Amino acid sequence: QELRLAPAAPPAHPAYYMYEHFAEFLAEESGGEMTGTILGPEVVALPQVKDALQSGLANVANGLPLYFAADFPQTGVAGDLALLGRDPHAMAWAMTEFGVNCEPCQEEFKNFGSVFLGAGSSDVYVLLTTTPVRTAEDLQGLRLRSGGAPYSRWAEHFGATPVNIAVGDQFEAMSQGTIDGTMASIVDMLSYRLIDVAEYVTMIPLGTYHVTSNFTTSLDTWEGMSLEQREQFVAAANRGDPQLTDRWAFQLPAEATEAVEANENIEVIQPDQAFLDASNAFAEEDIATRTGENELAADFAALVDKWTAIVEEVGNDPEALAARAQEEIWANVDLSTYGM
Amino acid sequence: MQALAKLAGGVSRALAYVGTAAVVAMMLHICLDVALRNLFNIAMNTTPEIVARYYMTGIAFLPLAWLELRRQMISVELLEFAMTDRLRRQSDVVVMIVASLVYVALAWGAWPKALKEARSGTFVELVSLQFEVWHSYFIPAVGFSLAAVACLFTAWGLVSPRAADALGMARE
Amino acid sequence: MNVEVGLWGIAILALLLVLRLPVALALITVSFGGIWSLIGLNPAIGILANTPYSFVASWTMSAVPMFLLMGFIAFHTGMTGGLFEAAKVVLSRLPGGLAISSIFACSGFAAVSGSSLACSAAMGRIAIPEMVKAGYRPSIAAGCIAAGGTIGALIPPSILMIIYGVIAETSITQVFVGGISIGVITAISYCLVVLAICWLRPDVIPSRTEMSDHQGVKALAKVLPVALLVLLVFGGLFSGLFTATEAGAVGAFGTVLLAAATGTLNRTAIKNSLLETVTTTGSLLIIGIGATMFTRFLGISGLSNFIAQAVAGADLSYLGLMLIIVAIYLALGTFMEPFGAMLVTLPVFLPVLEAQQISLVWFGVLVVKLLEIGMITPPVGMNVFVIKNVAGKYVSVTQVFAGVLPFMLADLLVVALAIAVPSIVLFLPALMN
Ligand code: NA
Ligand code: NA
Repeated sequence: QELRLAPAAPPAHPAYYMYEHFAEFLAEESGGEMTGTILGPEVVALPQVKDALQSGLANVANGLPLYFAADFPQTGVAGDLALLGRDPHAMAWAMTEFGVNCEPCQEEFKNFGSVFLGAGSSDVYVLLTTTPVRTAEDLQGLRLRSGGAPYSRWAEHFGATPVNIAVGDQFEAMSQGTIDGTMASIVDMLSYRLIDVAEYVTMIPLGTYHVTSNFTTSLDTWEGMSLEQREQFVAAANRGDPQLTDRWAFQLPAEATEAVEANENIEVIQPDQAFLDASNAFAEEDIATRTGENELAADFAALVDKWTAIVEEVGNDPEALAARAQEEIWANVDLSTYGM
Repeated sequence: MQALAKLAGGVSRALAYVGTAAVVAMMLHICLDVALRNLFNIAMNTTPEIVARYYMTGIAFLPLAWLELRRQMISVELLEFAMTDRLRRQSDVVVMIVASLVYVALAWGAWPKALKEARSGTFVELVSLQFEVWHSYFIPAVGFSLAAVACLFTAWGLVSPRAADALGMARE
Repeated sequence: MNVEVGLWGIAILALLLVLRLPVALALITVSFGGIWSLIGLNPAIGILANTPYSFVASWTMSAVPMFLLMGFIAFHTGMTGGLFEAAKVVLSRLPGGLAISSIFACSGFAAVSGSSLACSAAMGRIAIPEMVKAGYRPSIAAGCIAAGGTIGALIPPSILMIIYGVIAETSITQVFVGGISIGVITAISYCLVVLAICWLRPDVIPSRTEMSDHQGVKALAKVLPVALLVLLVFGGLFSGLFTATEAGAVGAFGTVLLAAATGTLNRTAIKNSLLETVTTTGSLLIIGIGATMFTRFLGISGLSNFIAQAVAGADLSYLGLMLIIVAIYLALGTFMEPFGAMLVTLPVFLPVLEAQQISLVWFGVLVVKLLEIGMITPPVGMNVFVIKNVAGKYVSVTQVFAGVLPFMLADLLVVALAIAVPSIVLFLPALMN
């Protein structure tokens, strides 16, 4: 059986990298019974993921629940806790376990015509700016691109104005001074060429992007598989999941950091202790508010603690982490009924 | 039937005027955004979404029926020179009927899509507010449906000069 | 995946176009049928339901109607006419002076307009009737403006270059600056084509036309409004007041204000500009939708990827690589929509180019030039369609395609020049650093 796989991103993107690995794992786990062809972004881009899955154009797609926010209000709760993000692998596995076990989330994926098979995470976002940000006071009056509500709250707390700009417009907006900077992954320095316009990188840990659904599988495809095929498919997806985090939060940031350090026009700022404390205090307060209000948020926060400890013990090797997740998460799932 | 043709012509024209209103609104909205940002440092975060989802769809889909009535759809007239007037007219009628079928197919795709988006109440998250955009999915559905009807009327107008007048079709 | 189905799709598309089906509907029909036969009815319906909205509802694309509006207002209030008049004062003594003047006017307008469609639409209105009146063969007059319009996407601002910059992850400003020289060289090459035709075929372009040029120096003052516009758009863009996407709206509003200030704005001008903006945008966007569906169909068939991978896989010299890349963009440009063509090809080509240490700024300018050639090649040539929209009573689409041919030859020479001497493109961006 040949499955159509849609990473909904160009080849340079970490999602595409993950899908190339997944296609290999799938052939391996199924002994060549199941294979995949990857559809390029000219066929399925992010806005088309929902229709592609529901119409059968793609069997598996990289869906971002926050992009389809109206369809995933409960799953999105985990995204509202972005400021928790300090350890990418822990965030990714916490999101995976959360998505698999949270009933309202499972209902949302079902209504979307799909099945959830794990998540990945970005590195920890930092500040990329055109004016130096050394202390909390330096944030006053800055216009910063925000990738989501938690980042907007953080910016507003420190007197900056969060701005909504498409990620592809960051370069232009920064080069022209429409914004003073962005709250983003350091990888954007290379992938959106911000290295040509940013002058300062402030290493203040903000949070992660972890509400992904890496191998959103069409319900029809899933139901059409035998139990054995589902086991093989999940094994491949589970090995594929940490590949996104490995690429997005480790390999690419390492490249970007190297390029930034080699660039003499860019200063890397370590924030002062007072700034760091103030930022972390706000993050804690923000998370406490949300976990107090919402049971699902509390569940997710607990899972982040659990996986932070596991990742500390296992390390960052994707295959080792996948093996552990197989025990911790998938071993407890009944694949004859899961997702249906 | 004449009255029906008149109605179809009128509705098509009215929708095209809604399209022109969207053009004006788009221009003023973007300029206001630029001015507020530069003069008062105020960010209007909803502008790109409103422009893309409401003005753009309004400009693209609402005037389709009127475009068909005015025969402004672009085709490549490779065989034009080899055709007699009669043959060309017949071929035009066939083309309009085929066009109507294509619009029916497009509308057939667009309506369920619009209803689905309405049911899930699709919104986008901007900075810290949730901005509902599901209404905009009805714009292509309306535009394609009327274009399908307009194509049939145009086919009729091609064989009946009186119908053509009632529709307000462009003269050859 | 089935490469053969992709080839069949292209053949059937050509047939439907010959049978006079409107371009947009032909593209939609073939894509729908093709996807149905490749992977089934449901995915085909899914693409039918999804593509129109997702193609149109785009912030970047909004620059197209705004630049068109700017062009139509500039036309109806006599501003582009003034540009043309002024060019004539200086250039009318030359053989083929009207055509050369219109190319200069296109280049001037290119500095405020981000789209070649808007540029063709704005200039086609004024220049084609006048050239025909002066005894130019209508197809050449129309071809000259269809080609001249492509300068609009080469001289910044340029929507295509913005999109390239985003996909290729390279500096948009540098690509913009690189575009200036290729835009100017293109304009010069078109002027040489006009001179050559004049010399070889005086029956097609009259070598000297009677000019009522008693206005003389006064006409030169008519450049002033457009010069002010250039100042507004370029100044605002490069000082960061607004983005390239916003430049269209600001430019259109600026044009309205300028026209009001000079007393040339009236109800008819406003009404006609708006109606033309809507009809032109509508008829182009529906073709864009069709071309996007076709791009998706070719993507599913694996044809576009098959071609691109073959190039990436072959171990080629610089010249061999370039020859094949040019051939591919020319082939894709015949029927594909430029954004789609970039989406399909760039991810495959860029790593190959980076491995050969080829400048991505230079390549961006080259790709935009090649895709602009696609805007005037049959069967899907958007600039030609625009000309049909604004000057339909003088020419048929087929005649415009014929008239464009000599200018396309010049384009190929410019492409060859850019490949042989990359520094022609790169010396301006290098000055910036
Ligand atoms: Na331009
Ligand atoms: Na073409």
